[in-house]
Amino acid sequence: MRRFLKAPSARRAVALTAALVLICLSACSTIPRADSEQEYIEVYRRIVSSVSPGSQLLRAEKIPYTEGDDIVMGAALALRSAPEDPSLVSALPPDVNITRATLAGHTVDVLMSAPYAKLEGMEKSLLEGAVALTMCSLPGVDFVRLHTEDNSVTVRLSSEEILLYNTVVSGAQAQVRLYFPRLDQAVMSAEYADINPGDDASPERLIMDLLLAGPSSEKLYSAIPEDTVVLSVYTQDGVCRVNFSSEFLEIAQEDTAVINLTIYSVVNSLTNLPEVDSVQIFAQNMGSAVLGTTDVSRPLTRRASLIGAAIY
Amino acid sequence: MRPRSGIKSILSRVQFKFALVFLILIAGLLVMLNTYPTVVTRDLVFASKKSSLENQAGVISATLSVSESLTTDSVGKAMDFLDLRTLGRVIITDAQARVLYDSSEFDYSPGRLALFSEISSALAGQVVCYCVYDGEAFISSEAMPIMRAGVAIGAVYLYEYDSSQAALISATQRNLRNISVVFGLLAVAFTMLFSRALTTRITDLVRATRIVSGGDYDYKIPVRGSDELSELGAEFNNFTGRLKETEELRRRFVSDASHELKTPLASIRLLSDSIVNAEYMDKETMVEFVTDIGTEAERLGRTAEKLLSLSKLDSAAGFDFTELDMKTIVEKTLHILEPLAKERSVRLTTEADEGCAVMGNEDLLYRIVFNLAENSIKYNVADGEVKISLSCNPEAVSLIVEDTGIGIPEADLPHIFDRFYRVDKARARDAGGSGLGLSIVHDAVLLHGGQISVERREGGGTRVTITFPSYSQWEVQS
Ligand SMILES: Nc1ncnc2c1ncn2[C@@H]1O[C@H](COP(=O)(O)OP(=O)(O)OP(=O)(O)O)[C@@H](O)[C@H]1O
Ligand SMILES: [Mg+2]
Repeated sequence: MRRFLKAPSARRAVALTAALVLICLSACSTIPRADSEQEYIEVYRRIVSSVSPGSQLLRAEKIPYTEGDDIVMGAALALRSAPEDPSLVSALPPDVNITRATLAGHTVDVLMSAPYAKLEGMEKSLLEGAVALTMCSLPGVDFVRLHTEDNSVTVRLSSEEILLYNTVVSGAQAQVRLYFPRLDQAVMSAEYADINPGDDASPERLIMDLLLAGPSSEKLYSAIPEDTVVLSVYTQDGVCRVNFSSEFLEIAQEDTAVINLTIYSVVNSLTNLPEVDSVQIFAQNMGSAVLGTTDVSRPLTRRASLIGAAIY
Repeated sequence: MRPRSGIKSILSRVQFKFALVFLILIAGLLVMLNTYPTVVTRDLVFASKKSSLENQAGVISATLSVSESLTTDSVGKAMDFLDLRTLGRVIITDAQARVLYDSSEFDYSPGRLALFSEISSALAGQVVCYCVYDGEAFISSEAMPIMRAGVAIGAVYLYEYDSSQAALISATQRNLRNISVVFGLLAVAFTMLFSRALTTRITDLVRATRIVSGGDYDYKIPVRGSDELSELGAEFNNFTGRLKETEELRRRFVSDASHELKTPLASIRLLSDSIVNAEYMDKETMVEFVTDIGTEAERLGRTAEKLLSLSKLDSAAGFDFTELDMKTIVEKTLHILEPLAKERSVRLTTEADEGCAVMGNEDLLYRIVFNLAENSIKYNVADGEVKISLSCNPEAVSLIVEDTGIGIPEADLPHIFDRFYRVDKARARDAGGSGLGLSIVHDAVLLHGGQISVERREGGGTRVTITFPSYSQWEVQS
């Protein structure tokens, strides 16, 4: 079943991610800029014919990258180039071009040629999706801003916002997005995991269990102290209350940024559930109402700005 | 032992072929049983899924197409009124594939771009429906555009994962498979037993044939049941019985024939020895002895000649058949027998119709009449009578030879046509009879397609009745 939905593109995506993780572990630990050791760029292309159920519209193609060049501009050029695989076509319509692409912070600023403003519908979404996924696959990139010269159209996207396939399998089984802090920078990334909610386990409980268990990607980490136990987790009136055991307070030893990311990884993961609007965190014997720089005395709402490129 | 193993290998081949054909048939049936119902039900479920998803998508699409604008709020409100609990996921997007509503409980995605191929098709104005069966569940997805003024302003995406129908199908499949396994095993066992039973019966027949051909005509196959093989067995027993009879007849004939030939030869030997050994023999005695030798030789010759004609009749070959008038034959014969009748002072009378034509061999017909008339004269009393009547109708010609003679005892009638059979050996021998005359008559009549019967005549004597098909009848038959 899972195979039917995802294969082969999903499997390829996993493989690509794994490759990326290895590259980044070696490269990104220092400075998240100019990655001189990356040899390939994953360029997202449109698949010419997608007729079978669950088939994807976009697929990554590996394009060799010459060392030392501007990788962001290299990706922009690669997006424009004709794919080698005959079953793929460039996601950019013939008259639309990327004029310039620059990296500022974690955001790639993509200046599109004027005809971009006239695009609409699926055509526009596919272009934006391909650009966002391609750029966010580069090390150090989490967001993409597309705009034209006159700024009449401005779109800000992260790869997190692109849904390539249906993640729901059945009523009893689904994939959830879990957020974990990233090793290489001060953002979190999503990871998909299977859950089977039932009578004895609510989705909230399962998500918390998975968060405590830690990420499967080596690119991510969990700062929740070991031996922490979730004493209770339940949702009422849109507020999900998570009650940690006292061990959770040991997190105070970490950097503020890590503490904030850890707290919001819980908040963002739980707010993926439709009935959860905000999350309130408790811990046994909690003295201070502030953890890191976050005031945990009131319910916290989702903070999407902390979410970086997703891991598919 | 070579032929035995050869036969065995053939038999094992018959058994093998039989079993193979049977098993192939069963296997074919089982394959059908295991695939056809599943395929049919699957297609039915596909069709019902398609129509139900299309209905639901249609309702959603119609509801949303009349709402003022498609926003997360307006779509959410509209969707609250619809019952979509059976569906695994419902996604509503705007014209840009941006998610406005998502029923997913775990991967809630409003604001994200749903770049699914189904949604792409729907935004292009198409209604698409996919349904697959992966062995565990029916997975169906449906996408439909939300149209307003001929333009797709959004798309409805439905996804359903139905494992209950699939469970039903796989349960049925499992049941069928179990039944098939049991049935298949039974079929194999049954085929093996049955083909073994069948071939052992054939082997029995083969063995019986070999025993009988070895000369044991008394061997019988036990016959059970009423199928073709039992029939074959019964027929085989019948056949060996007949073989035995024929063999006995042949043996008796040979011993009778040699006996018949030995007797005159012994007389000749005795007579010639007497002549050779006599110191003195007057001329009269000598002439008498030599005459006797001549008579015996003549008798020997006659017997040999009769045996020859009998064997010729047996092979039924070499006889020319022509159209013949019976009356001519009867008269010719009687003309020859006149002197004998006079000598025995027997009165010969004839009563013959004109134009009784038969299809036959002149020589054989002559022998028939001659033998019968001769018997009637020979086995008669002084001043006896012999009456030969010939009559005919369009179908048949009948010849009746009757006499007022000594008659044949009732007990001897069934054997009268046997070779060398004589009622009163001594008397017949005196009359020069060999006991072959009636056998020849009998065989010759049968060869002509006729019938013969011998009976005791009321008031003493014998009556022999022969009927032949008339010439015209013969022509019709052939
Ligand atoms: N008309 C008859 N009346 C009485 N007995 C008869 C008559 N015809 C035949 N038989 C008996 O049947 C026996 C068989 O007759 P058949 O003609 O076969 O032999 P046959 O006359 O003895 O010898 P063949 O005819 O060969 O010279 C005779 O020996 C005789 O005893
Ligand atoms: Mg006779």
